[in-house]
Amino acid sequence: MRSCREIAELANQYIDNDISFKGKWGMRLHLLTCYHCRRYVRGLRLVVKALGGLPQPTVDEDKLDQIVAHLRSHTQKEK
Amino acid sequence: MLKHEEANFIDQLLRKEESAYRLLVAKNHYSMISLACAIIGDAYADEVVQEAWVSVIRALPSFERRSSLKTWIMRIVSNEAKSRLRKESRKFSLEDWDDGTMDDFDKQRFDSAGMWLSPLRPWHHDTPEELLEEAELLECIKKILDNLPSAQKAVIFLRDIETHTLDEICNILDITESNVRVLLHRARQRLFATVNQYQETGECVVAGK
Repeated sequence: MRSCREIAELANQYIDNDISFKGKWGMRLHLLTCYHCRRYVRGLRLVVKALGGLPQPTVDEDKLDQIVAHLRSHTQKEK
Repeated sequence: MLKHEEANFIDQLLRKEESAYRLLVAKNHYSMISLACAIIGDAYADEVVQEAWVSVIRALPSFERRSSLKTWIMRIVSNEAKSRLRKESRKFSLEDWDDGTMDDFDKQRFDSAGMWLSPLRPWHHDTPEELLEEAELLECIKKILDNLPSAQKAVIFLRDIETHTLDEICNILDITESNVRVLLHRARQRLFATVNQYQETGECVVAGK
């Protein structure tokens, strides 16, 4: 039976489903009976999902024009 | 983008269609900037990405389409950033992963038998949306990300913000799967520990670089 520390070590792989079948079931069994670790894994998932929701900057029109012009000048040079 | 959509898109780019160029830049530019920042820092990121864009356009005719376009572009950025680092006589250091992040969390939270010493208290937020709505916490998260060592920053950015697969990240950064796992683990641990601290005390405690 895994210790809670081992669960914490594997938690990231577990939430990414980057874990062996055996490892996954070992985790699940532990989580069934350990609410501290359940809370931990839940918190980890929450934080990771929040990262996915962070506002991302977008390129404004002027910058876009500038970059595309720069690219064009380099493709022209090929000819 | 689906594979056939992407194939059409690449063909439009090869025909130098303006709308395709604009879409390419709009979709990729800030991802490229963020990756360059993670590897080489804010000061050189713009320059590195300018150079990467030129490399992208020049190499596009010989892009073999074995990976997605995005992965290929990000790899070019990663290579440009690392090469710039070498010029500045610094390395993109995987030693960054060995900064003991997990050790602190480990020592504080678990006893010698591996059991919870100080178990976690319930959080004030139950959903990612709630977390992100709290302005101070959002700032805190941005600060932690910013202060991560560069290898950890690059990996967590690529995995959790850009949602690349493990395989793609290995390809982009030219590191092994096991390196990616360790870096991701440490970066997430630091993030978790800080968010947890905030939940418990309302303070944002960010470890120095």
